[in-house]
This record gives sequence, structure tokens and C-alpha cells, in this order.
Amino acid sequence: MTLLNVTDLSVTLSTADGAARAVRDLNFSLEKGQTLGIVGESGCGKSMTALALMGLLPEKSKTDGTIKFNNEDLLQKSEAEMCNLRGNRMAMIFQEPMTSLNPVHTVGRQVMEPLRLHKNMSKADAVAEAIKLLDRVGIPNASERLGNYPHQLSGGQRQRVMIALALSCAPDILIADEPTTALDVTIQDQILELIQSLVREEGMSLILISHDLGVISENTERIMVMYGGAAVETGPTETFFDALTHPYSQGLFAAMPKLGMGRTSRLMTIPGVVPDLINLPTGCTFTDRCPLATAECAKTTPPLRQLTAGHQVACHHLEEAREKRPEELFA
Amino acid sequence: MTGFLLVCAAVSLFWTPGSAYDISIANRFLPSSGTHWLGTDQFGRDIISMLMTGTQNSIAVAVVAVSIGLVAGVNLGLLAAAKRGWTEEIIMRLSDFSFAFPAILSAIMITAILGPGGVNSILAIGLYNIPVFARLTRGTANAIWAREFVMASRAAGKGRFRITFEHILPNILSIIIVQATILFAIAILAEAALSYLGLGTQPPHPSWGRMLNEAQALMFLDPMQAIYPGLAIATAVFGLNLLGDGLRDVLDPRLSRKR
Amino acid sequence: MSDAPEAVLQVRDLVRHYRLPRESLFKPPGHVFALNGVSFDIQKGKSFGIVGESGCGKSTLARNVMALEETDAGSVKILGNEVMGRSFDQLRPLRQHFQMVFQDPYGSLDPHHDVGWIVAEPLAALGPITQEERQRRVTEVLESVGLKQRDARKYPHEFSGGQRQRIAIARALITHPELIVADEPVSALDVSVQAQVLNLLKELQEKFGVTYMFISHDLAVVEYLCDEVAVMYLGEIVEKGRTEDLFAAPAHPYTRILLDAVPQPGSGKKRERIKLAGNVTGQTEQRRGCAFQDRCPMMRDVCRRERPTLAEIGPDHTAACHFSDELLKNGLEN
Repeated sequence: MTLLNVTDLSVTLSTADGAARAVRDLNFSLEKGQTLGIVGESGCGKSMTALALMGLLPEKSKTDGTIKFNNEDLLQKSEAEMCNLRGNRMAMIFQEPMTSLNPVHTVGRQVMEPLRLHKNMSKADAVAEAIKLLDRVGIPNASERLGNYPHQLSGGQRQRVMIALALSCAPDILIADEPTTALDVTIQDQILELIQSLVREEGMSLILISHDLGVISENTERIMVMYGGAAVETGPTETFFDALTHPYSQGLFAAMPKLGMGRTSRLMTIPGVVPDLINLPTGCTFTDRCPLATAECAKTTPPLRQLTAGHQVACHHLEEAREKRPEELFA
Repeated sequence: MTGFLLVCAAVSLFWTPGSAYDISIANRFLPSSGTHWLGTDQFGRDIISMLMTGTQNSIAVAVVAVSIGLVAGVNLGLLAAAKRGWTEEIIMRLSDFSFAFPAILSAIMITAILGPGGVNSILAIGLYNIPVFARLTRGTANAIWAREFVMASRAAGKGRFRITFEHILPNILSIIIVQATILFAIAILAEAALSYLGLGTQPPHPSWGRMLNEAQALMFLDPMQAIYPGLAIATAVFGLNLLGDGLRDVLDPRLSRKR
Repeated sequence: MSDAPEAVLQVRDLVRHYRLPRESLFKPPGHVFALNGVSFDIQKGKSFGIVGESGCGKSTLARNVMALEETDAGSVKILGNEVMGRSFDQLRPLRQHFQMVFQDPYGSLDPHHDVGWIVAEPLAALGPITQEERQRRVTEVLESVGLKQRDARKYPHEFSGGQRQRIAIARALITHPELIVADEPVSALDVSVQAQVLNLLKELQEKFGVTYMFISHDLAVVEYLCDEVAVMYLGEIVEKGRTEDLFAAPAHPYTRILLDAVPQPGSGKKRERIKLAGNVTGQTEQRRGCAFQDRCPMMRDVCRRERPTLAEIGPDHTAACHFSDELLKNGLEN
């Protein structure tokens, strides 16, 4: 059964300088137990998408489209109903563990919060469950740690606490927004592995958001690349990097320094900068930086077209993009 | 609101409806009329003229007092933040010491020692303001010293003195200005309090505080006499507070807004 | 380590310990042992990379090399001139030869001054110069980073992160320094912008012959930009050598684990590697033995007793481990 079905999701934020289209006509779905990675740079809309799913968008925003979770439209739900779902059936972990944990409450209290809220556990039961959770996420001396405050833990440990918090009620779906960006690479390794094993054990679905192609590639089954609020390319991770088609995906991949590429090859750059969400072109958002852009690109939004099984690209010049390699596009 | 008060003060430098000074016992306690818009007090002085001239007085005291506090306090605070170590400790302990005494009380003490009068009350209020500014400046200055662009400036070879004036000061200015408007209001209150007690501006110069004092005894004869100066004080303080809030909203986001 | 006359930067046995505030009246205050004897040379025109994770001391190293804080022991020679022990005023004329680029493009530029003013700040180290000379230099340096002359009148908040970083680089270039210390200059930037700035740094090196001390936690970036690399852990250099050699055949377990931990696109989900357990400990203790003893998969008794020193593994390649040979031959075993 399709756990999550997002159709034509659009999020518009009202800012002091005008309306910013943070997310445009986004479509994707997630089966039970599936993992999806959303990749993009700042301003591409990936975090906004996550917040839209959780119903945590800022007040001055407008959301259109449908988000079907277990066949119920989340956008139609009241705040009270959403509160019931958050932390319970849908959970989210954030990038900065220091600011997402309350510094004046103990770790134990924060982990027990969803347990007592959603499962109505008694204090004693919640404590026992919290210790089990902290243990599960690999925090040594869990029972002593319950009384610690966030600042007494390291960054990696705080992120583990966040994961314990998120998992406390065994949600159907876990959304991780740049969970390891603020961590050292060896700790990142540990945390990602923890997330992977928990997802497997619980049969949860996972949406992993990152700007790091490597992280996404090693931890998800499907990838979705976003630019300027729209999805430009989606496909199965295994074959994704062999068949990169969209000019932006190709450019992004080429611009990333990779281990083993040596120092003689030059990094390819995409000319220009990430678009201002307030003044987006009406057609394809990548128009002013795309080497293949034509007049049509600026006028009409390209539809997502199927390339091969499960691999979709939104580009007017699909065939041409397919033929060309990054060196030819961005040299 | 503050603008209105400023206008009053400015105007009263040149003209008042009646005279604030002429005593005319025959005309005592007149109600509002054409010649005397708010009536006269027990000495026959025109109330509204007194109020307007009083504005002058209050503003003068507040400005000078706050300026003393600002100039001395900000410099001390900047010095403390720049030098750190013992300099900072000494300055901060001194200001802590001054904070131990409540504002009005210390103003009273100082005028009691120095003697009553307009100038002394300015000094007293000013003296009290110094530690307030010093503490605020030092706190915010320390925060700016920790910013990366200050480190970049040091990497460029700039000395502490230049950095203080070129980098630290512009970045804390908005906060100091807001604090100054708040202290302005407090200074007006303080002046009124001192005058009420007879320690501030001496007669014949009109002062809101003294007007209140004098009106107190005559509450049952002519209550309006007490209400007018009270209203004037309240309006001034309220107006200045609003100004401070408004300034804070305008100055801070504009300066810290990022693309 | 020869005293090559070409060395733009020579660091010897740099030590920096921070005192922590006292916790009780009776115990002596604790210390954070940020730098425990760091030594290396950088030759003219080269890029020297310093990698490590949080707590390894790389930012402290940057600040000490730039003489921005008091150093406890050791020597830093820039173009042959000793920097340690000199007063701030004495150092000022020397500062035109070494400049710094910081990590945060939003924090390293004063929002109250225009770009022209900011970029010209280091000229203070040169002594008095004419207004025209100043203008000329500002324009020259803005154009070499890809900005325009008229940008000098704009304010930092009018620019994007990548452009601000260019401004920071322009500021570092204006005195034509021989050495630029870059502390994570691209870490806060998006991938595509990062690529632009990295290419810019390379071009500038080709054009002006600048020497870089490049600090980063991102190994792929360091591999792309740097000729030589030093890996730091808990305030010490644990391995040092030419980039190709070090990345191809790491001789210290930490380096090996660090390289393995970097996720690669297209490499698939299953990658056999040793994962490091726990996190960095021991910053506040001075102990016998190897700094890496708590977490090393190859740890044996001798590691607790004797501190390994940097020993030569190959040409220009040194590592501080008792078991480098074994590592190179057999790889890491669990």
C-alpha cells in the first residue's frame, strides 16, 4: 500500500519582498519500508517539503495540492489532528541537534515526552521505555544519561537522542533533514548506519534530505533531485549516477570534488547562482543557468517524463541532455 | 508624542500664553479661560505657561544627564571590552557597586550631599546613568569582539583602539540609542521626583515635580492643579517609551538583515 | 625536515593549552590541550592541507599561525621571521605577508562598512598610502576575484554567500601576501558555489604564486586543491605527506578510517570498512602513549606506553604510529 502520496504540492511563502514559491507542483510517492533521498542546494525547497509534510510550515505560507498519508489528506487536517500524528505516526529529525533539543530539559524528559503524550504511559513505564530507546540508539550508560542535559553530550550523542525521540512511538515514516551535516565524517558514518539499521528493523519508511550526494547515494533506494522548488530528476539510486540526465543533476555531480579524482582534473562549475525564489522564471527554474535552454524553457514548465523504469526527468530537451556528458555541457 | 513635547519646549523658549513667573495673588485659582487656558495656580501663575516652560526644564535635565551617562558610560564600557582582564574587572565591580543603590535614592543622596538645585540634580541623575551604559556597552561590545570580522581586522593588523571605533561602535550604536531613549524617560521621572522633594530645580523656575508638590497641599481646593503636571509627566514618559520601542524595531532588523 | 630557504611557513613544536575556569577552590584549573607540539613546513607556491575532525585543533592552529592569540610554546617563522613573542605592534608591518580567509561568509564581513572599505582594511599594515593607490588596489583585487569595481560601494548584505567569500578572498589578497591561511573557506557554501570558489583559489595561485595553508574537514576538497596534507588528531599531526601518497596508501589507522568514512556517490550501499566507535575523548587529559589509543582498532599495549613520533614511511611521507608497516601491508583488521 502506498504509504505517502504527494500530488502537485506547492508551497508559497509570503516574505517582506513578495511571494516566494518555495515548492512547485511536487509529485512523489513512498511505499511502506521504502527509503527516498531528496537532494539539492540551499533554496531548492527540500526542507520546505519536509515541513509541509509535517504541517510545520511558518504561519505566513500557503500550501496547495494534496499529501495523502495512509489515504488521508494531511492538508485537510486540523492542527489538533496533526499534533496527534506528529511524533506518533510521523517523526522528524533536524540538522542542528543543539538547537532542536531543549537545553533546559533533561534528555530523559525530552525522550519521554512523546511517550507520555501519545501513548499515555505512566512515568515509570516511560522511564523504562526511554532507557530501552537510548540503549537502542547506542548511548552508553543509558540509565545515567537520562538525567543529563543536552550540553553535557557530544554532537553525535545529541543526534542519537534526537533519533531516540523520533522513534519512541514507532512511527510509519521518519523524515531526516540534513541529520549529519553538522557532524564529523566519522560520526556521520555511525549515525547513518544507526538510521539504516533502525529503519530496516522497524520496517519504517525514510525520507532523507541532504545536499551531500554521497550520503544520499549510500543510504537510500530512490533519489529525487530538486532545484528552485521543483523536482528535476528522480530515479532508483543504484543506477542513478550512471544515467544522470538532467543538466542540473549532471552539473551538480560534476561540481562535487570526489575522492580519487586526483588534482589534475578541473571541477566543472554551473555558471550563475541559485535562483531567488521570489523572482522565479515562469517556466523551468533552471533556465538562466542551463546550457541547453531555449525560449520554450523559459515559458513552460517541463513535465516529468519517464526515461526508463522508475527514472523520470523534467526537461524539455530530454534527448539532447541524455546524449551530452557534463564536460560537454559545462566545460 | 515626543515630538509634541519637543515642540512645546521649543515654543516656550520664545513665547508662553501668559507668564510663568508673574505672581499675581489677585488672580489665584482661576479656572480655564481665554487668557489662562488651564487656569492659574495659587500664586496666580498661568498653569499652561508653567507646564510649557517646565517641559524645557525637564528636557534640558534629561538630555544633559543622559548625555553625561552616555559619554562616560559608553567609553568605560568600550574600554572594558577592549582591554579585558583587570581593567574590565575594576570597571564592572564599580558599576555593580553603584547598582546596589536604587536609582532615585542615589539621586537623592547625591543632591543631599551636593545641595539642591538644577545643576546638581543633573549631575546626580547623570552619575546614576553611567553604570547603566557601561554595563550595556560592555556586554554588547564583548559580543561583537567575538565576531569573525573583528578577528579578520586583527589579522589585518588593526590595533584595539581603531577596531573599537571602526567596528565595535557602529555595531552597538542602535542598542545604545534605544537605551538612551528609555533612560531619557527615567531621567524625566527622576527630575520630577527630585523637584517634588524640593531638591531639584528651585523656584522661580517652573518644574513639573514641584508643581505636583505644591498642588498636593491644595488638592481639595483645586484638583486640576495636580492633574496637569501629572499628565505632563505621564505623557512624556509614555511617549519616550514608545519612541524607544519604535526605534528598536526600525534600527535592528535593518542593520542585521541578510540577503 | 630541512630548513629549506624556500619555506614560506615553518612551524616547530607549537603548543597551545587553554585554561579552563576553575571548578573548585581546591583543585587546580583544568586545561584543554588544543595543540601538543605541531611541526610542519610549507614551501613557496604550494597548497598545504590540514584535515581533521572537531577537537583536533586545526582552527587553533590557524589562529596561532596568524598570531591572533598567545601561544604557549614553539616557533612560527613566516618568510624566515619569527612571529612568536613579538608584540602586536611589532608584527603589524609583517602582516602584509600573511593573511587569512575565514569560514563564515556572513560573519567575517562587518555589515556596517561597504565592500571597498572592508577589502582595503589590511592596507593598514602597509603604512600610509595615497588614496589613488588604495583605489587602484581595491579595484585590482575585486576584479581578480570576479567582482566589479562598482561592487566596492555596496554592502555585504547585498551579496550571496559565494560572493561574500570572494570578497573575503579579495581582502586577503590586497597586500599581495605570500601566505594565505584559509580556515574552511568553502565549508559553508553550496556544492556548485564551492566549485566556483575552489577554481578561483586555484587560478589565483597560478596567477600570483600565493602559498596556501588550507584547513578543511572535507577530504575530497583537500585532495582536489592541495599538494601536501597533514592529518590532525587531538592536537597532533598523525600523518603528513604528498596528497597522492597519503590518499593512496595511508599509513596511520586514523587516516585510513577517515578516508573510508567519506560517502561516495555511485559506490553503492555496501562498502566494507571499519567504523570508528565513540567520539573524540581525551582533550582535557595529558596522557602517556598515543593520542588515538582509545579508538584505534589496532591498539596494543605499546600504544598505551609509548607515544609514537612521526617516522618516515616513504619519500616525504611520515606517520606517527607504531604499526604503520603492518597497516600498509595488511590493511586494517577489526
